[in-house]
Amino acid sequence: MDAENINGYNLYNMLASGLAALSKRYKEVDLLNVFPVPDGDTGTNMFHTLSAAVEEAAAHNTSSVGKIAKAASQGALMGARGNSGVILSQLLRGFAQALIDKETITAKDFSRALVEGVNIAVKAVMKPVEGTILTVAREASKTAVREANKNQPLKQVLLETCKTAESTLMNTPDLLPVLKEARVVDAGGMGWLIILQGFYAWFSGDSKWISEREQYHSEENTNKAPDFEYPYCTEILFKLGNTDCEGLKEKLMVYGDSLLTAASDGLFKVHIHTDCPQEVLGICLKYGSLSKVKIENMNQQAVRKEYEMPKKPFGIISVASGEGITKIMKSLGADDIISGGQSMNPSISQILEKVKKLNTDTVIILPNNSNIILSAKQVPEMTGKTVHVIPTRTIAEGVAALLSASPEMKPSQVVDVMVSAAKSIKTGEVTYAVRDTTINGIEIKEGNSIGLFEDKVTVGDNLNDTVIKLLDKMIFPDCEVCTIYFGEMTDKYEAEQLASEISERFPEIDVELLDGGQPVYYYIISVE
Amino acid sequence: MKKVRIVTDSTADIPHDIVNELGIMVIPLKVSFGRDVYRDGIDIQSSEFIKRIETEDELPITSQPSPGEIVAIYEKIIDKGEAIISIHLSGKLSGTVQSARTARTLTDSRDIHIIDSRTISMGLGLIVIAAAKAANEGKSVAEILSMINEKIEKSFLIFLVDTLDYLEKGGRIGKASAFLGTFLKIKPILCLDDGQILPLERVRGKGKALERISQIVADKTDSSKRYSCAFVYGNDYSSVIKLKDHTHNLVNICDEPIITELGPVIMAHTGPGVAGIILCPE
Repeated sequence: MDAENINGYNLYNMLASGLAALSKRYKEVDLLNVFPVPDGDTGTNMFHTLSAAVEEAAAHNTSSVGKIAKAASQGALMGARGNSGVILSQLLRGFAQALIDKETITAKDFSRALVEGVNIAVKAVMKPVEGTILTVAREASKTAVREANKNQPLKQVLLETCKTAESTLMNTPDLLPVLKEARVVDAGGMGWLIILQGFYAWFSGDSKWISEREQYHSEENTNKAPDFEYPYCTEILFKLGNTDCEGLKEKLMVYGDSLLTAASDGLFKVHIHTDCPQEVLGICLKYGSLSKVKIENMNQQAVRKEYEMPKKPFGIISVASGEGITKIMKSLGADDIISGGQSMNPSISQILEKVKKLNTDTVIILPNNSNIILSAKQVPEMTGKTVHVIPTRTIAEGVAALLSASPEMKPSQVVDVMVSAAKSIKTGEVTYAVRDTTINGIEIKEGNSIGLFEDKVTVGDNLNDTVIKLLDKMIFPDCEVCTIYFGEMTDKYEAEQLASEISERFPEIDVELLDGGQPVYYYIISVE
Repeated sequence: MKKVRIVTDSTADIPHDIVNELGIMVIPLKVSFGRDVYRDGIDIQSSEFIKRIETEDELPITSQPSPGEIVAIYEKIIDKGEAIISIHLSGKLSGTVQSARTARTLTDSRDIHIIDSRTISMGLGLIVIAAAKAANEGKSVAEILSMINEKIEKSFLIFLVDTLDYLEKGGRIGKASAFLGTFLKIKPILCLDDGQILPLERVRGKGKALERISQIVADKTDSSKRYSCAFVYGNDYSSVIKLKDHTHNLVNICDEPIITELGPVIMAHTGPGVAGIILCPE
């Protein structure tokens, strides 16, 4: 082959080599997908699109570059899949337009065709965004033109083009925040880089130089502020002892940067950014007695600044006991949990403390127990914040209230919605008798299971019988969902047996069994 | 003045008889199971699709029509000397509108107008139907475009899904899904907002969710206005009929609503068990 003149067969082989490169790596590209539609199929789509291009080009047995490029462009247009495929088809379309009627081409023609591809692709996109395949293709094409103008052969031009494409690709997270957030480089841009590398591989015959990075995911959260080499801003004030401070500055210098020292009235002040404040302190101690020490981690300060969240219009604090219940409440939007419940009521000051700690001006409290409602109601007067107490009497009412809330609601609206949601649900609880007693003429022995619903006690022959009898009282017409939270005293297998028994008995009701992990109650059951 | 031809895509879920009656051109999206690729609503219908997702292990993949496929359709219309208004599903959910824009650049015609409806299914369908009626009445491109834009602003789509699994796996709901919780079996009520699917409320129990949707609809409608209305469902006709019964207040402000099943491409992202309502002020 003449190094300076590329014919149609050569171009076809380059395209096929690009496809071969992509076929090996398109799944890597899929993993990067975040933009604009998070399908995770950018690589697959580009692969199918380029396949269609190469297939169409293969159907034209011609030495004309123009005809091969046109065929590839047509094939890509018909076979384009996904947005990235459409953009790829436009890169090829512009490329073909620039080469129309050409029998053979030089490196200069080729590089100008790359530029024309970018021009057409940019036009096709409604709102071109920096940090995408368009940026990678544009920067790469500029390098191509620059190298070609130096009369470099195409092989060399492609090598430099690939290098620029790669460095531009690595820079995409800095241009496009969604990439940074997802800690990836742009998927389409990587696809284009792989294709260009494939073009080059055809010339070089091997692809060894190509940096086959395992993944273009960054290891660390790139959203984090850059780490300081000497993270601890250390300020030490000390009284000079018998020695003077000669040589101190020189000793400290090796421990960091931004070193400042000052002396006055027998006091000596040291300021340094260091990675080992303990060493600095040790040295200063040799010179005198410490009177004031301040050490701050600048990495944390920087991170905190970046992650400061906007204040929410309201926050929700929910009282809960049991690991499962706590998780459920948090998943439904409780901002903080006060540990407590039946027989372990939190104090007013515990509630107040949580209210103060929450970073919102309006706080909604879910007491989730009738014995805690009163304590919670004392809190609003004790703080400058606006505090609303939703009088939820049970865990299940608390869950219902949380479910009804949405962060978009106004505080005034959300309180009404939560109050009525809590009322819409019926709760039964199953626990055990703490002593022998007689209720409604029924003798109850200590340790027997008892069901509680609306201040009435239900007793069955055994635990499951108690639950069923309790449910008979609770279930109402049009009742749709029955939720069972089993407690720490209850075996999971037994709970599952019970749940299927309930499903059989009430076939029209959706039964959901959840591991609440609550103490005291074998089961907390709600129907709605 | 040129006659205007309305083009849309298969995600509009417009019943076939209406498509034929109004002369709407429908470009199919594609849905594929592994290597088998089907044109939405042409090679595969909803009923077959539902059977297929029940038996396949992998979720189907959907894809937008290629610019080349769209050009082929546009060129047929241009050859007849007609102008084109091409209205498509939200660009935030699919690249179809991007393909259409690219297709336009491939033709020499200046009479192709591409619109991102910022909605889906019959949300798009009702707008397309209104546009096609206007086109058949001989309205101009400008008149039809301004009507379409007004309808896009004012129409709304509210629906529930049986499970969020499909929307999450297809990446069509994003971060907002965190709001819906991970532990309870919630029937999420969702809406289309500025082209995206957003969770509106979380309700437990399908019956209660359907009632809640009808309340939201009652709050959102103005009894002094007229609306066109559609109900959509996926493999659960009885729920959508319940929803229709709950929204009895609509009888006074709507003509007979269109009730239609979601097509395979939309259902690939919502799963079956959808019930939804669309209202579009007339």
